[in-house]
Amino acid sequence: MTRLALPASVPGRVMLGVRFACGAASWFAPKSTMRLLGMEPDRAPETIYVGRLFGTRDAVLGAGLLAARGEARRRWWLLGIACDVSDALAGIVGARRNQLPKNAAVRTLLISAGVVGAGLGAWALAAEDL
Amino acid sequence: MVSGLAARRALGVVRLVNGGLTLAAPRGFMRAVGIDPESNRAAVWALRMFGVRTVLLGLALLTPRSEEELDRTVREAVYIHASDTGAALLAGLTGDLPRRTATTATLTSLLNTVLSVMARRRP
Repeated sequence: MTRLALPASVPGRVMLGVRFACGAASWFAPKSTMRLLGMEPDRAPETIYVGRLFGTRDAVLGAGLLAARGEARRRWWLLGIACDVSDALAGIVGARRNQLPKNAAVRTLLISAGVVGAGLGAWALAAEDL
Repeated sequence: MVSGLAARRALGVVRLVNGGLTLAAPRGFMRAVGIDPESNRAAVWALRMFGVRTVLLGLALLTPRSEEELDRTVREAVYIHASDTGAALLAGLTGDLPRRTATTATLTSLLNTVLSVMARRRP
């Protein structure tokens, strides 16, 4: 049986909370989550399904962190950082191609969320939160 | 009978291919499964976020660093694909996805769930 261990650092705990919160919100309340992010799920209902697929994977990234210790946890931090960097890049590409909501504040929030996530992960890793 | 190792490798490759396609060519992927990317622009962005997670979880499944990590990633795989199956079924029932797309997505996720259960077998 795997023993679960919360990250010791503050950025690590925040990141873990964000993974589970985003994952649960995207799965159990995809429409509200999308509206909160400036999207229109009623006009594009396919995004609800994609949101649920995303939510599961985000929560699993959190579960991986929670269940791993030592070098295995380092790997989960790196996987999370790679996801967040990719999210930020996807946000930039999406904004350039007009695939994100038009509201500038929402666009900035969506892109910066990836940057902040990657920063928190890197901070936890630098603090040797293993 | 498919061995646990073969099932794990197959599932890892499926994740790399699916994740890679949705990350690199989300619009082409959407057209292939019957969704119009022009009227669902936000889905293109969301699909990329799904894609990167799928690729990285595929890598974790294919390259475990220890027996303990292997056990955990294989166990998590069952939850991931069972959850995907539920999401596809729900999308079909609520009309969020066209019926044909929802059926394909449900069957594909169900197959992945079966593979992930088989991947738990040890020689």
